[in-house]
Amino acid sequence: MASRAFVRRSIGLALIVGAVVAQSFAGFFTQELIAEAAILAIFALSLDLLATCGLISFGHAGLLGIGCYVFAGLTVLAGGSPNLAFPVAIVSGGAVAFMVGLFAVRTTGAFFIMVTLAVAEMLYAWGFRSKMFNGADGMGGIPRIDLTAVGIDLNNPGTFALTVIVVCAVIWLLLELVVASPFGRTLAAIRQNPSRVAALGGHVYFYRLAAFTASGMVAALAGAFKVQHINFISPDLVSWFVSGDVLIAVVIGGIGTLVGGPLGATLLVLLKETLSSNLGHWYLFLGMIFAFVALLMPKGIVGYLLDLNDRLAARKRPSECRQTERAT
Amino acid sequence: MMSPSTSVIHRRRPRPPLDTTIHGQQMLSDPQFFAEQFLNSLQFSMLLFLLAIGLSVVFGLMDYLNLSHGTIYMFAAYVAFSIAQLGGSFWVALAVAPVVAAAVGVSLYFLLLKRAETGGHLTQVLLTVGVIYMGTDLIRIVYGDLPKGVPQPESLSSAVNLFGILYPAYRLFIIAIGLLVMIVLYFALERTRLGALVRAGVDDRATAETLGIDIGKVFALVFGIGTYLAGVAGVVAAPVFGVYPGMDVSIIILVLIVVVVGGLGSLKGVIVGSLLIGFADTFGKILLPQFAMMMIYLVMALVLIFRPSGLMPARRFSASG
Repeated sequence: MASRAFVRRSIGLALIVGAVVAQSFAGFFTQELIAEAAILAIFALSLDLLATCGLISFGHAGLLGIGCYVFAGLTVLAGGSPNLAFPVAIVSGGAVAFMVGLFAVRTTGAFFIMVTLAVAEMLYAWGFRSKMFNGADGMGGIPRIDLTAVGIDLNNPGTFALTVIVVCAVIWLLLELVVASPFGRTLAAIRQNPSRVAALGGHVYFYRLAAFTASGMVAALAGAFKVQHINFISPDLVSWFVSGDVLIAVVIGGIGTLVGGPLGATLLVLLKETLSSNLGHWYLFLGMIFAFVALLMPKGIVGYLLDLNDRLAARKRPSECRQTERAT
Repeated sequence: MMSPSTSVIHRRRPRPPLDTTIHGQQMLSDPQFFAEQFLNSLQFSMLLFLLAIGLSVVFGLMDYLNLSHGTIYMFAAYVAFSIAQLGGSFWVALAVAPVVAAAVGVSLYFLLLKRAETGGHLTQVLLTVGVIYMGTDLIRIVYGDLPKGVPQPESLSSAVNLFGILYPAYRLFIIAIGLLVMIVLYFALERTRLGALVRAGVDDRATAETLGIDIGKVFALVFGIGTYLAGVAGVVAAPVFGVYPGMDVSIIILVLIVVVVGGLGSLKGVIVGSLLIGFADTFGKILLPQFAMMMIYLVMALVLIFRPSGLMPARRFSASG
């Protein structure tokens, strides 16, 4: 029977193949949807990376927003090249996450959730009033990265969607390597029992800080793609609804599984689109679906599948699978 | 000490127009204005208190993060609206709506929420966000999207002369209700057997259960009282803030902040938290109108940096994090 890692990676691979195939047959509108899902998937990956060490952020839109505002600011306001603005946005996301993390990762659980919410809402409040970025009305005209030198035109919606899918896949593979590395194993150990890691001499604080910083970089990358995709920036991108959406995507998919985030993100985007274009009161149905997932699959879809796989394995070879328990 | 991220924001934000700030400070030096704002803050704090106490004790007792608490508040406000439409007085609404809200809340708990009791906070978040979505859309289907008004009771519609300050009687009534509930809850928690059971459950659930206390029953009762008080908040808030779909979401974040700032599971914590946030919100809007939203978040960030478990948490939550 397949190992947990094998199941997770197969789901990830299936998602990538599915997205690429769907993208190549899709019309303009579906391509835009796929790009939206892929950007949310990157964002969800960043949240799940943080969840690896047991921290749940309810203000991740703030880090996404750093990517959005830095990219938009450098390109539109400063007239800089988008190719330069992109890496700067990512580094800024990491830097802000590092500075916030210095204080924030001292707390855990519900308190970490609220601290991150507070910081994100302060950025929202700033963006709401910012004259530079035209405040609540928002600002348009954000250019996309120029890759014409290598023959890629990102202004073509299909190419843009494909690029975001590829970037998402690369980030996913990188994070798979990270969680399998000693660093990632330590993060998982911190999630399971921070006191024991500390007793064994692990620097819980620094590992959490590093995870938060890395998560901030990935979130800012998603943000830089987000403003390129919708060509527009407004504080709505930083509101706690966005943080809630990505958290829900990760929980639906299965927290701590990495592929769960992208799967949940894809489902959420598709669900919202299908429900809202076919039903009047679609939030009622979305709410029902959330409730069903929460009650039937409390570990999310991927978590449910992994447990199912374990149960099947246990039926076949009871002695062997006990050792693979808890391998993320 | 301020979190570096906020100082980044401070540097990058445009300078606030000086005149507004001075204007706000000048207004504050006017005793009449100051007293009014003081009472407004107090009134808002009381509403937050009525909502937060249920959330905090439920969290403290069962570790349950119930975001749909605000939906009960909204539901009660709509029940009050319906009673007013049917010709019932405000007092009928105040007597009936919270009871209906508590009945709905407790049924919701036993039918749906209880099933996620052991699922962890995130499952609870997903489930209760689902309940929020369903509740909001059901309200929309029945009552439509437009905000509704609920009239103030006749007897409280005038202004009261309070040491030379004219202040609406209805708002004083809200303050009085809040203070009354605080006093009753204080004595109920400190002086009654049920209160002792609740405190025991919050401090150490496992030991309390070993001693033969049925925490499940205590919890159901506490949940009922919490939703009843959320219902009271919904009814008394309706004439002031109006009734609209989404009023639950707009207040639940503030209530969560109150709970976290005050510290989980303690009455004192909720009182302190609701006063702090109520005042920070009202005076933030006067002193720094541009950054009113920022004020409460700043207060929360500062509190959590210095006291990571909130100001006055119950004993079990007072360890770091």
